[in-house]
This record gives sequence, structure tokens and C-alpha cells, in this order.
Amino acid sequence: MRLTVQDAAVRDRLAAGMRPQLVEEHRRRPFGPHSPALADVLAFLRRNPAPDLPRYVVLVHADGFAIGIRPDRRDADVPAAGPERFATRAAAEHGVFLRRLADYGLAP
Amino acid sequence: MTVMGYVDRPSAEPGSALRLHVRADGERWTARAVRLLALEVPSAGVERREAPVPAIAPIERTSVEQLTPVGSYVRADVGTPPDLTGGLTVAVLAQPTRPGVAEQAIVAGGGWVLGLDADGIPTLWLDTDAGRLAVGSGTPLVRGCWARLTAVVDPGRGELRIAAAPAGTNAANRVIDGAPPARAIAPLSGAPRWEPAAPLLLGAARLEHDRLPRGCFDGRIEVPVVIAGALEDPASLPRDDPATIAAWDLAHGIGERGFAQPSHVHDAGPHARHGRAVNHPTRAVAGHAFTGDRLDFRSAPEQYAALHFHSDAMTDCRWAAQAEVAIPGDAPSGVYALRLQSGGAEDLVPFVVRPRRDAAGAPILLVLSTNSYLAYANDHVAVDSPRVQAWTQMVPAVDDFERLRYRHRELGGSLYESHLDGSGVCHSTWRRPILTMRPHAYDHNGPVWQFQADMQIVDWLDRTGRRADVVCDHDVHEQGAALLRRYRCVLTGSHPEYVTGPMLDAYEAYVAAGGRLAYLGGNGMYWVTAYDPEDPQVIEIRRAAGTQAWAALPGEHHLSFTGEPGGTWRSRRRPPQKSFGVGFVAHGNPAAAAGYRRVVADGSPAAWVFAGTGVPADGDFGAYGIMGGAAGIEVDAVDRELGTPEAAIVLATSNGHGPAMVEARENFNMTHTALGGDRNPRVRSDMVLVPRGDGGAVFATGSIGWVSSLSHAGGDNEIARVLANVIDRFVEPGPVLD
Repeated sequence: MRLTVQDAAVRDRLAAGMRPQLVEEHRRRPFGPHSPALADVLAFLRRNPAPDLPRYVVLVHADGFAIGIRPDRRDADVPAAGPERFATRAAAEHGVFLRRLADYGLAP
Repeated sequence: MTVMGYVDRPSAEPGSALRLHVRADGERWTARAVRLLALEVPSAGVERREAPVPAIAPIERTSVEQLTPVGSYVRADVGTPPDLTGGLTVAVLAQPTRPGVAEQAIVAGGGWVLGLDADGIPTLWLDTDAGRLAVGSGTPLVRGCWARLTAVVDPGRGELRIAAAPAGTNAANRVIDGAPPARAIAPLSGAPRWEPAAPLLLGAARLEHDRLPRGCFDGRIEVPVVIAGALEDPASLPRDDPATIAAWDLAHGIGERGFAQPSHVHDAGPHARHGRAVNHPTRAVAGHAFTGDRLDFRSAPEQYAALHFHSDAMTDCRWAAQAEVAIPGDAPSGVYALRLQSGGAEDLVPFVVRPRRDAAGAPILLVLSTNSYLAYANDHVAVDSPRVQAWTQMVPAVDDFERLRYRHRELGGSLYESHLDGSGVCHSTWRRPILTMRPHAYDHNGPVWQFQADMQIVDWLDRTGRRADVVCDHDVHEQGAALLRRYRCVLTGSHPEYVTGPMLDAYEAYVAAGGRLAYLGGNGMYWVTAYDPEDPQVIEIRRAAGTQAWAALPGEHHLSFTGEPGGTWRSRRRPPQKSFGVGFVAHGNPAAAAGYRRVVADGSPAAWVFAGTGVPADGDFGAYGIMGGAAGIEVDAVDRELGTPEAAIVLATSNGHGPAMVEARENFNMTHTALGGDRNPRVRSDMVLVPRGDGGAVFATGSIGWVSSLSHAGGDNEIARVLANVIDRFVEPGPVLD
């Protein structure tokens, strides 16, 4: 995980404040409104601050939603991050959130 | 299996024809015309409505291979082949912007290339009977720094020579220290295999199938010179010496109105081997002599004598046109499409039938914001941008159709992304399939966007029985106020962001002379836009002074197509508030949208706008719609200092935006922490009515999201009632105010 000095400080601050309640809040309301604490976490994650970590998108399929990863090449397809399917757009949004927490070591 | 296509221009008159270009995986394809009355919005239960157009004959053709040339370059045909028995000398100034990723050609001819190797080292390659020879200077060039390159094939000494020396001013170079001087010599161990009749190229090594550029260069080129013979000092040779094969002056053609012929690359040498630029290498860019004290290329051509080439540029697919679509002479004006089908795949290619120049088929004219469709055409921001999610406040969602767009990068990108070398994309073109202009809902900014959003206006007009002619932005640009004056009421689209000076002049002249304009969007009349004087299907912008996806470099804010300053119209002292009453103040995602509060009193002469809505003075309405609320996405407000007329009446103002609706950066001078709509009163949409002289008027919604509330509750809502009141009043000859 390559973070700048500043982003590493932000990550450490957020890690100190992570609680299971924030994860549950996101599960219930992935699109908001969010508490200031959760908004703080999302503001960090949504910037994709670590260039070496995956950048996620949601893939829309006829039978549900999946998590995709930005490919290395511009002209490549957007591959799925795994076989998991989500029944709703909100569930997929939360699935991305959980992956990002794991990527950045922020899972409580 | 896929099928996709495009027509050669967005609008056509009855009795004319469009050329159709199709690429299909199936053996054959068919095309049938339909008239589009509504596009589906599945999330809102809006269904597509279309009608067949049997008067436009169906088309069926055998599929042909359609290859798209990607990469900008210049081609100069040599005519009489030069005599190269005495060798060759090539000299050029080059500023690479993406060295070290692949071999890149800067100048090339038949059997030779001067360029950079895969490590960014200046290299001369030569085909000989002993194989392909190469000599490299040994030192990579530095990204963004100019270097003077000289390459010589010297049969007399039996040598290949290359030299690279730092060049460029402090202002012209990205960093102070470019690559140090370097030179190398290699033996000429075989007889050159010249192809003297082959075309000379700038920015590409060769053309596959005579049209697909390969080995493209990312960066700037200046004063390329090709000389017959082996010279130690090519600068010592007079330019008009017959040995000069070509000496291109890349500043040639700069005039008060920019480049009248942007594709013409002038040979200042004696043989007139002029070049033709393909895929719009960017002009009006700083060259090696740029000092920073002249920021308008027209005033110092010698400082802007460069072309910027991009290996991923594409401004014309150049697919073979396989059919002409004849528009019947009695075709009513409207939005149409060609349904392409091939092997189970389908595509819908929209186009507009505009009214004849001498007639108006309806009292209302709708101007589709086609320049804005171009600006967002084929964008890849959702996946490419690391910051888009901070803007949208959600993870982007892409479906199979959008993934197709991401795989087909040869179809070009939008004006919201950057080239591979990081420079902003400043040209967009109709000459390609525009996959963002398709019925599929577009999720990046919201469930409907641009063309899909404007089709909601077409839908509403049709369902409510209000007849309207339809035109495109370029039609207004070309025909001016004379077009608009044929109508009692003119409607804009939901996001008329990209407008030319003649378009602004036309709208202002129209309302000043008694015309009635309904500006049904937000963030309108924002970016200075110009059409290529050689090809109006290509537009150019330069981003500066605005809320923007990229920033043009200092000194490069002027448009090459017209010479005028680019950036925003506000930065040229023509903010939209002057003619349209309101201008851009804030942007956010659908979750930050809001409704309105009526502020116009019952006794106001403008109170009729709310007749039949049931909204009392100080009442709230409009907190609904496909885009989260009628006041949403990008919103405009009154600003008397920026020119909102004194006579403007604020009918309603939005209230209740969330923190993700943020004030636009050009609206404040110093950053602060109170930018969001939950704590910033400047974040709002103002709905206004501006009476003008001679009975003219402007109604402005002040919001991109406004028209996306028309379909709420089956069309029975206050927003729809307001629009009906305004249009019905505007088309009648009586006064606008009670």
C-alpha cells in the first residue's frame, strides 16, 4: 500500500476510529445520509489514494450486480473481482466498501 | 456480436441525405428509420415510444471491414521523389510527453525513422540490405523537455550519426534540467533501402494499409526539416535550397482568427511538400521558444510553432460510407434514429431532421444540446478517473454496453478525460459511433444524462400535444437569430453547456427583439466552444477558469479553430446571467438535489407561472424526480453583479441541498470549509422569469435536473404544470407579465 505521508496519517486516524457500528451504518444506508464519521471514511476511500490498490466499479448484469476492478490497460475489459453476485445495487455498493476497508487495513 | 454506426452529421433538412457508416460482426446488416418520441428510463417506469418511418427506405448491405485510424500524425506526399544517393539529414525539435513506453516516431520517410526507442532514447532507424540498422544517442530524453535532434545518414563516410541537445526556454520546459547533450555514431554497414516515393510522416513511423498510423509519437514537434545529403550543420542550409526535401513551418497559417485550415501543414521549403494533419494534432500550443510573456498564440506565432501529437487521438473513424439515407421532402422536424441490426445485435443511431430554412413547422423550437453530447461523447471517466467517486459519492456502475465502450477505445474519448500522456482531450467529433448517445440509461452522473435527458423534453412535448421543431447546436450557430425568429418560443436542452459566440449572439438577438426563450437546464452557456473551420463535425475547447476536468496549460487557453480566448464565457465577461438571468453556481450528485420554494407573491405579474399548480406563495414543490429533485446535479442562480437584469423576477429558489452539492470554484476567491449545500446559502437554484424589450422574455429553470421531474406521478406534478404555463404563455402574442 503506497500512501503519501499525508494520506498515511489520514488512514491511521481513520483506523483508530473504526467501529463495527460504522460498517453496519454503511450496510443499512450505503448511499447516505451518512454520519460525519462514516463520511470521513468514505471521503478517504473514494479518492482511491493508494495507486497500487485496486479501483473498483460495480458491474451491472441481468442477474444482479458484481464487483469489477479497473484494468491496467485502457482498452481492456473491466474484469470481475470475483464470482460473487449481489441482488441489489446497494448490496454491491456495500460489498465494495468491505473490500476497500480490507485493502486499506481499516476493517474494525 | 456487435453492430454500430454513425451518420456524417447530426442534423439534416428534408430533401437532403445523410451518409451512414456501419461496422457489423454479422455478414449483413440492415437499417430502418424510426422517429423517437421517448426513450426508456427503466428506473422511473418511462417506456420508449417510437414510430416507424416507412418513407425512409430500409437499407441492407453486406458488412465490410471498418478499421479506425488512431493516433494523430501529418502526412506529406513527396511527388517527385528526392535523390538520396548522397544521404539524408533530418533535424527537428521535439518535446516528448510520454517517453519510455514504446518506440515512437517523430519524423519518418520511406525506409527511415527518427524517433525514440522504447527507453526514450533518440534513435535513427534505417532499412538497408544488411537489415534494419539503428543508432541511438544513448541518453533518454526527459518528459516535457525540448531537445534538438539531428540525424544523418552519410554514405560518404559510411556512418549513421545522431545528436541530441537540450533546447527550450525555462517556461517551455517542464523542468529546468532536460537531458544532457549526447551523440553517437554507428557504421553504415549496408546499402540504404530508400523508398523515396513514400510519404513523409510527422508523429508516426508508417501507415498500415496506407491509413492506420503505427509507432505514434506523444509529444510536440517543431521545425522538422528533411534534407537530401549528409550535413554536419543542417541549420546552415538555406531553407530554399533545392536539397531541402521539406521544411515544415508549423506556425504557418496563424491569423487573427486562428488557423483557417487547421489540417494544412505548410512546407516552407522549395518543393511545396505540404502536409495534411490527421486526427487533429493540437495546434496553438507552446513551442520551445515560449517565454510566458505572450499568452495569445496569435500575437507571437514564433513561440507557438509546434504541434502536439497524441498516440490515442481520433477525430474521424474514416469508416466507409455504405449508404445514403434520403430524408423525405415532407419529413416533419424531429428526433429520428436508424435501427441497425446484424446477427442478433442492434444499435440505434440518432439524428435530427431540422426544419427547412424558409419555414417553421411548429410554434416551438427545441434546440438539442448536441455540442454537450459531443463533449461527453464516449467518456470513460467512471473507470479511468481515480476521483470520480469523490464526485458522485458512489461507486460507478457499468453494464455490458458500457463495458463495450471501454473495450473500444478506438472510438475516441470525451472532453472530460486526458490523453495517455496526461494532456486534456480538447477535440470531439461526430465522425464516430457515439455510444453515450444511445437509449441505455447513463449512470455516471445520474439515471439520465444529456441526450437521454433531453429526450424527456421531446417526450413531454409529444404527450402534451405541443408541436415543436427540433434543431442542433450547429444549426443555431450557422443560421443565427434568423432561425430562432421563426418561432414564438425556443427551448434549450437540459445542459446546453458548450456554446459558440455566434450561438450566444443568436439567443441574445432573439430575446432582445421580442423572442421568448425557455432555458430548461443548468450550467448552460458555460464553455467557449468552436467548430473546426474545415469540418463543423469537430469541436474544440480549452479548459480554464472554470470547474473543469483538466486544465489547459498557461498560454494555451486560446482556441486554434478561431483564435479566440477559450475557457468559460464568464471569463470573457459574457456570463450567462446577462442573457439568461442565471448562471452556474454549484454541482452535486442526485442525493444532494432538492426541491424549490416558491417566492413569487400571489399578486406578482409573474404569478401566472404557478397557475393550477396548487403551490402557494412560500410553498414547497419539486423535491422529486429521476435525478433526485428538480433542483439538482448542476444548478444556476441569479447574480446581479454578473449581469442578471434588474427586471428579472425570481419565481422560486431551491432549498434543502445536501453537503454534496458544492459551490463552484470560480464563485469564490479563497477556499473555505463552508462549500456544501447544507451550510452555504449560495448553493441554490433560482427559477426566474426575465422580461425583455418588445415583449421578449427568458424563463430559466436554473437546474439540469429540472426536466427529469416532468415525468413524476405520470406527468401530473407542479414542475410539468409550470412548464406548460410558461410555454403556453410564451407562444401567445400577449404580454409575458400580467
